[in-house]
Amino acid sequence: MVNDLTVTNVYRATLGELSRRYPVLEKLTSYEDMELEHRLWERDTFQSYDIQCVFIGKTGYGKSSALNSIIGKGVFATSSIASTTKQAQAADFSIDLKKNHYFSIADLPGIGESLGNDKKYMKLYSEILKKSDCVVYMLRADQRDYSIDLASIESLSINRSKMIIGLNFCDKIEPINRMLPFKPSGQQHRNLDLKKDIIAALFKMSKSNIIEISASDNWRIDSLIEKIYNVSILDTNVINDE
Amino acid sequence: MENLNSRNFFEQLEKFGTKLNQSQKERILANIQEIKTYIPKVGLFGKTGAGKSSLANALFGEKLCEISDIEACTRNPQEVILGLGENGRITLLDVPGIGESRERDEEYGALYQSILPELDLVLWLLKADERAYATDQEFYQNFVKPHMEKGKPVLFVLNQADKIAPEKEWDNDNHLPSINQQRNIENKVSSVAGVFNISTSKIIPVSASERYNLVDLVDKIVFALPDKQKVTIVKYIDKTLISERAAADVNKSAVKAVFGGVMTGAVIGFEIGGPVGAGIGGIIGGIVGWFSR
Repeated sequence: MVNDLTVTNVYRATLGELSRRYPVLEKLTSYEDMELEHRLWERDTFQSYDIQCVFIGKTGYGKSSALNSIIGKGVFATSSIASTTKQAQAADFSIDLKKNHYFSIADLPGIGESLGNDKKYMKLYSEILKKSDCVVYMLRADQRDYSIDLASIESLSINRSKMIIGLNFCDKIEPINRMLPFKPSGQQHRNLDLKKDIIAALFKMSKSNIIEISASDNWRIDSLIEKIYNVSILDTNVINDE
Repeated sequence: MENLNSRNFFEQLEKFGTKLNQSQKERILANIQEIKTYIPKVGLFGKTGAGKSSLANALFGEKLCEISDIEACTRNPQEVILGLGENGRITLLDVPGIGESRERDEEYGALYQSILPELDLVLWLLKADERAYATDQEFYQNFVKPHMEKGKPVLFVLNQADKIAPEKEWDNDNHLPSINQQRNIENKVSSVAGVFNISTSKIIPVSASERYNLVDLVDKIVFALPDKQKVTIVKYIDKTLISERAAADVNKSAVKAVFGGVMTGAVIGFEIGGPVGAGIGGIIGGIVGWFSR
């Protein structure tokens, strides 16, 4: 079952709904290179070309929350205690209905919850990632255990040029600040910057592709979207090289 | 109390009506010597960033390790030896956190395996506000579980409970969780019990930085340890964290450790119970370095 490349649709709307929130996405309506081979998806009754962005990372790192924050609606199930995402789920935004062009953001089941599940899901992950234009690998600003993340990125051979690191839970970086709405303190800013340096070195990533956010506070979600847009339409022809 | 010597200890005992022959006295002196020279070892295990160093600092009331908000701070197994004075000492093993990188994990697995047999108590730290426990599960199953099944005292400490959702509801003034957080803490304890297949009684939610529920943790430590280990470990724990019932239990263990091999438990209770026991318990407390309250 999990070996099938199935992505369950949990939300459908026009791109306009999203580009009202993030004007940068408006540019997708005039993007001309939509119909590339890797973007072709078999849907129930038709074929579509999707700019696919996939969120991946450890369970409880806020992938679903970030996606909900992007959409502005709670369409991906979240829980602070148990893991909720057991299959790949996507929210699809139509760029052009007649041509079946979509911008799609998807959520994968979390990694690192149990040893067995990781092995079970790895094949599904890698198949979806191959067809994706952008991979957001979610980390937490308040965690520093990376062995599972480093191993997963390696075994999935995620193309670095298509990868963004979303650094979530910035509101929890020390010294914790329980202010509402969240605004990082000077010390938190400094710690965040240090954290990004460490992650950039460890994951061999450009610091500019590490986007600090707080999904629960809707903090810097617009910056994440901007980066997703840039990575998705950038030299798309290298995507299948690996 | 510090200067109490063995002769007036036995005189006191006689005053309370407990007469001992020479071989019994020798056995008691040997017991006391053993308690005084025993160096207990406590191991703090868990993933990097779980807060092992902060918990050690909170429990033992000393700055044992510089805590970094950002980088893993314990690189080599940090053997911290506390209390080099007359009344013995304790070794805390603040081992490097697992999960940092794969190469290190292999190295640390071997390390955990080599130090586990000599540990008297293992505190396994988890972060309350996360659920990616695969690394913990792997290490627990491979290295710790076999020892736990043979009776080694292992407690799971669910640290940073103040950060459990909704973390902004934490009561900063009273250092307590909100009702919603309390509910999530309870759910978390059950879910961790399921993940590791252990009893919920072995899982203690705390916040080292907020000093939340540390008294409960110390209670669990006290009731999990055998007499000698209990007496020698608890005397280094911050006194403000020791509840009355824990203190009473430690006193009882001190008596048992001192009289071990001389009288059976039942006889100890009979001979030195009640007010007599309280007096002798104080004397014993002085000898072993534990001061009753």
